[in-house]
Amino acid sequence: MKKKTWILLAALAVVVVWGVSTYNGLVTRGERVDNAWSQVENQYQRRLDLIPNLVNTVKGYAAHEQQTFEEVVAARAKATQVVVDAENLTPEKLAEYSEAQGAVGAALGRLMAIGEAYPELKASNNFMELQAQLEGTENRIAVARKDFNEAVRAYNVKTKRFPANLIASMFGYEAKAYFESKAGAESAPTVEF
Amino acid sequence: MKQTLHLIVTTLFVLVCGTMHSVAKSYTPKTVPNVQVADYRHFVSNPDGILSSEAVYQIDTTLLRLKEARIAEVAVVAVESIGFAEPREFATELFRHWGIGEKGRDNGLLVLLVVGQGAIEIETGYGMEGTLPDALCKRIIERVMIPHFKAGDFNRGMTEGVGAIASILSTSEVPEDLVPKDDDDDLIGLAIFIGTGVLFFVLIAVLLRMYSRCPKCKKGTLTRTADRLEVSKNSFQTVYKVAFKCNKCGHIVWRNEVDDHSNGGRGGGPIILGGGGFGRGGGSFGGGFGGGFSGGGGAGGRF
Repeated sequence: MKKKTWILLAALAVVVVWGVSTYNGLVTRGERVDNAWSQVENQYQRRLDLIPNLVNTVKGYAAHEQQTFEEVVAARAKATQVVVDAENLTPEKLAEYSEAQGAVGAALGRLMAIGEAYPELKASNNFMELQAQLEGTENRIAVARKDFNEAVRAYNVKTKRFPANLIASMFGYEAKAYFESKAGAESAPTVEF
Repeated sequence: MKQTLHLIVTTLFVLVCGTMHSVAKSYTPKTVPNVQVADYRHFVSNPDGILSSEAVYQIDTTLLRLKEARIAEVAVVAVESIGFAEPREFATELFRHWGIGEKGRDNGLLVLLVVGQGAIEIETGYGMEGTLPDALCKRIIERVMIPHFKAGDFNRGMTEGVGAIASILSTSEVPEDLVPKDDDDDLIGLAIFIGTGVLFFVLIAVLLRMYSRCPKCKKGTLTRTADRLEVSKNSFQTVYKVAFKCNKCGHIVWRNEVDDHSNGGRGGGPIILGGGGFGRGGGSFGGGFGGGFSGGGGAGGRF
């Protein structure tokens, strides 16, 4: 074959290799986003799991704060219904999830605030431990969200940058949405002594 | 005129230096000194001297035992200021930056004290969240550490806190496949290392002697004389024959030498050994954390 043909074939080979590695890079980063998302869900679930215990403990000392209990339980039920598939991380779904969890956070805040009004409850070991667990979970949620947004950023950068964006659009890899916090959902239910 | 200017500048300089002295350095996760990397026996980063050297020594001994038994990798950091950063976030960042804990097992722990903010944080690695759940960390902080911190006794608060952590970690089961490292293992390793080094030096010395010993009388030393004959010459190099004379029996040995036409210094001479592992002061060897990960678990307290 002529020399020109060889050069063309070599150039084509280089392009193909680059294309494959870029595609794989997109896949890896996408997987990382999914992984990070499942971590976020994990930590939010952990918070939801704390609620029954918390409600029972507070009820033991402040039985007639019925309204707050109902709010928390309702918020929890609603939040468990909003399920976001890792495949389905659209901005709308994420906003819905964020809102549901924000409601849980707000209701939890009110529940924990009851502790301030009832000194016996505040001093009870059970309550203090649950408080510590809740604080820890809130921290974990914050870290998981940060990691998720970081993973999304790394992925988005790859889908948007040239020339990788050519591969991305060819195979349908679109930018993913960030997990934004709703105004007010940021107020974590921490209680200071 | 010049003198007044000089005086003004000096006064300003002194004033600035004076004020700067009273402002504590605020650390970032990257600027906190990683003492473990410098010396494998050190786990306490105490750049502002908040903890006394006895307290640091005590804590280091405890933590070294924990690390060698492969129970946990614990780091302790005590600083005055981290600027405006949140202690909780800072702890997570620092934990991840240093990679505290064995990779895979994630058995790392970070105890962070920020005196300026009145904050104490314990950060647990992924693998520690079972043995040291958040509630337990909180308990240690509130019951053991904070009473002393409130009284200003950081030494006691920290040593007792670390002691409590250590006892909790030690009583939890150590997996069967992990055996605590024997002290003797360390000594044997060191002995082998030193032995090899010594052997190396001896070898060099022997070779040198052979080079400069008279082959005839075997007692005298061959010294270089001024006699030099040209053997061959080309564009790259010139080869000479140089006469070496024994200082006892007078025997002469001719040796070839190559001059590569570059001015300034022949190569050759004895091999110079590199700095190697002995460079660091005191003969201690560096350590380092294993690359563990944290998910943000743990607890904090304020005083």
